[in-house]
Amino acid sequence: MEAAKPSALYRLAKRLSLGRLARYFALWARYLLRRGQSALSTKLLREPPSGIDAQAAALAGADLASAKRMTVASWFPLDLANARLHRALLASVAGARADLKLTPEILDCFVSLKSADDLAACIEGMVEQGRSPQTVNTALYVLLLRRLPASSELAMIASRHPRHALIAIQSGDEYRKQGRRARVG
Amino acid sequence: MLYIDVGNTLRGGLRTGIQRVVRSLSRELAVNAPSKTRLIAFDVAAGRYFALGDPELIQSAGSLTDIGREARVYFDFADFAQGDIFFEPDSSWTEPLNRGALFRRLKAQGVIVVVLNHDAIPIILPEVCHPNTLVSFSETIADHLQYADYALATSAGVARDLGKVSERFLSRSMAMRVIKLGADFAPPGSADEGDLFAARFPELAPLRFLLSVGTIEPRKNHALLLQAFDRLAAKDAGLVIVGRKGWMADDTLAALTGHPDFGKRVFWLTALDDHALLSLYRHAYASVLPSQYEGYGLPVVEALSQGCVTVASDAGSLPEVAAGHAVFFRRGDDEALYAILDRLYGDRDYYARLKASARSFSPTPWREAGRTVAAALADIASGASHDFAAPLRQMVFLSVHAERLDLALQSARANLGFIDRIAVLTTPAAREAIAAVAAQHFPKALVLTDDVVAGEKLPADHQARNTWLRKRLYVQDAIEANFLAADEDSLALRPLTRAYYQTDDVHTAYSFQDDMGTWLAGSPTTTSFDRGMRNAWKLLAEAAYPVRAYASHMPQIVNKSLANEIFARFVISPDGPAYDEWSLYFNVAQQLHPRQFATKPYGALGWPMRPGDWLPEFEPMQPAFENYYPQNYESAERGMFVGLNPLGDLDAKASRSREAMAGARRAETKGGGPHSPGLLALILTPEALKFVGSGTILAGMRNVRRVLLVNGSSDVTLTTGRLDMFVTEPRGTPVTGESVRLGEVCWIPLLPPDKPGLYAIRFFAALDSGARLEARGLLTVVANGERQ
Repeated sequence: MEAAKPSALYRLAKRLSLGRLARYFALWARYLLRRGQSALSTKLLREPPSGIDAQAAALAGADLASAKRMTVASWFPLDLANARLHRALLASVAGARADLKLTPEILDCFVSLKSADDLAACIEGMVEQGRSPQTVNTALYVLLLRRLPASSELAMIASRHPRHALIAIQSGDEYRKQGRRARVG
Repeated sequence: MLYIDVGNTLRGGLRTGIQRVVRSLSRELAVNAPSKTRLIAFDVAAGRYFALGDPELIQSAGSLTDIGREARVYFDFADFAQGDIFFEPDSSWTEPLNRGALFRRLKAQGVIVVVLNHDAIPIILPEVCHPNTLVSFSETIADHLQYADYALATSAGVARDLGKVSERFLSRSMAMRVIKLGADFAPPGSADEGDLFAARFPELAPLRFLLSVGTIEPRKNHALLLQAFDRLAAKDAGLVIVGRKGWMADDTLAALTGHPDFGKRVFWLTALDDHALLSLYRHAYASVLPSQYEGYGLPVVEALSQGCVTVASDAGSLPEVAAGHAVFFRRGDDEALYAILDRLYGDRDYYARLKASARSFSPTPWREAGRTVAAALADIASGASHDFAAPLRQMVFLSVHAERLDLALQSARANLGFIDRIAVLTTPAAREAIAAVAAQHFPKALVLTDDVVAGEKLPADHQARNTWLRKRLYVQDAIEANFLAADEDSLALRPLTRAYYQTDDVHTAYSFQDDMGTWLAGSPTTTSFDRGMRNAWKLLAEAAYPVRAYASHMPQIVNKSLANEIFARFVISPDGPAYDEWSLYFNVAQQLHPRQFATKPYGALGWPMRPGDWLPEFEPMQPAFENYYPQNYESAERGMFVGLNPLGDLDAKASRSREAMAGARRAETKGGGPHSPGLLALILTPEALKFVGSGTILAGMRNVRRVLLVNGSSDVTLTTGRLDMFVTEPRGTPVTGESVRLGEVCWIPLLPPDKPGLYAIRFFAALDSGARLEARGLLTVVANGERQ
């Protein structure tokens, strides 16, 4: 089957590189527009956030494979999956047991705690955000029910009184029986 | 080595319920293969696991304190080795060692994690559980769902329940095997139990008593039994409840201990040894289990195994395990329970029939149960049932283009002499043309159509559709134990023997990238393939499996039963998510059967279609295949293989591919002379942009560079919006630019200017939050001395 011949108009446009010219004008137009908008409204930060410099340094020192890994992970974080699954199961259970008073806010806190690299820093952040002590303590209690604290965390945990969290008050007997209370407080 | 974690049973020191199962089953497994089995417990204080010096300790020791230092063989975590099995039969949700962290670490060492699930009660019946159990069980079941390679279930009912929980919360299934538990708990020396009964329970002698065994907790529903018992007319009827006080039990215990006949006709017994319990089963008029739910119902099996008439609710797995030898009432139906009990005492024939039925019950001895579980674990470890050694002789295609399939089959006939049969899955519309081509090269070709194989509405997404079709296709009877899975555009370019894929029972897989977490995907849009790669990566990484990329665009050997097992677990809906099925299969398969798989660098030319589309971590070594793109043969497309024969010219194609890849690498990763490629990246946060740029850039639009887009916020939604990038000459004239939607791509392609010199690069972001941000940097563009 013979291919259709391009039209005369198409051949003329190609000879004059009209497509390239159109793309070039579009580039100019877009550039001028963005520059203009930027001049009017861009926030000029004299001191960019401190974290960004650390990230820049990490990237600058990385090989291409590591830089790619950091890039992908920055958009598609992995470490929340297990915490989110646990949260979904807890939310389902909490729906059937209102007496637990596990609110969505507590569960959100719990997910943050469970996925935090630095538990103490995470709790400090929550306090700074104005989360209530009851919320933070209960979330911490839920976390500690299944995770022995590191020795470096003991002082922080003792200061939070997670054993007085609502859920602990209701059910402390079994927790003590499991022999893990001593390690926490 | 089989490691069985019995720590929780020893920590608690109990001998009932799950603990009875753990003690009996683990002992049988250890006795079955003493040199290959270790019963282990985690020592919290030491932070280490130890093995029991003598496996009999699991039965003879009450608790951990009974196991002295000399009977503990401590070992390091590093001693868990690839291919070992970590078996968790216990109620580990009260263990101090977090299971998620433990499983991730074990799997990183190549250990196969197998869990025994007794039930999913806290999830499906939370109202009857202790608050702490709800919280801790939720986490443990999450860890089981997410990380366990295999789950054993104590009944088909438990398997069903867990499957539902897994699909509901994780959108995938579990690799489940149902086992039978044993019931011969009769301790040695129990012949004198007649005397024992008379001596221990003289007050029960004149009674025809009902026996109910189980912890006092709401799920066991003792209150219902007490209610029905109170209505019985028989004056010699008695009620014996055996079980420790559990949770939320105050009301039931108050009713029990406050009963007017408590201590006369109504009794609550705790802490009985096995001799005493056996004696009660044998002398009871009937055993009653009125539970709201049971994952197994050991008391039913134990009672029946002693020939005791058994009445149970129809909840959970009770009808399944009683296998027609007990009488059932609807869960929670007090009238129905009363009617049965009343008839038991008043209708001698009825009672005699039930007695005969109970006596005909044949329990599974623990020895046999142990052998069955040992066989299941051995099969998991060896993969014997998968028949990896069955000869590879079949090739299986997905195809809709007859002319491409024609090329692929010509190449297979010429170069894959070990293939003597094919199966092709196509659409009804393409069937006739495909069948004609297939028959031309393989007279006994089997051609199937997707409407017959899949039936349901197929997903629109290309990757999801292919994955679903392969899943449906691979279960067909016509598919052989081991086969070569291929696409219609896979051309074999040189003669290969079966050993390229299969040596005895070892399968060789071909990978193009070690870490799917470095797959940047396309830009400015991500394709269906990209999403499949990314979804597979997330799935594998989150389930703690390796993350090599195997979608190498060349035929790969697949084991039918293992692929079916893996796809049944992870691909449960035609609606997605879409996965790269090759990577899903090989990564999981290799973790489960490390001795059956080897991985080599891939050998396909034409993948990527244009070197520089993405840079493979390694070049195709000893190429044997070509991923056929017609564009590669077209001058207008500046194709890499213009003028060459699609079915030949391997050396010329390899040479051109190497040259083109070297050019792409020269531009982006390996410089020479004045050119020293560095990293180009832009970090985005909700408040600022920062450009990170180093090294030089080769002049010329073909030397494409990637500007990595890094999300500097922990919340992706804060950095969505539009981003424009411009490269300008020093006086401000733009020479090239790109525009992308943030949150959809990981990089922007930078087409370098043709002329060397110093340029500015400028970024303008308009975030969905309303923020407008800008960043700029410098680019040093150097002349390209190499031929392009």
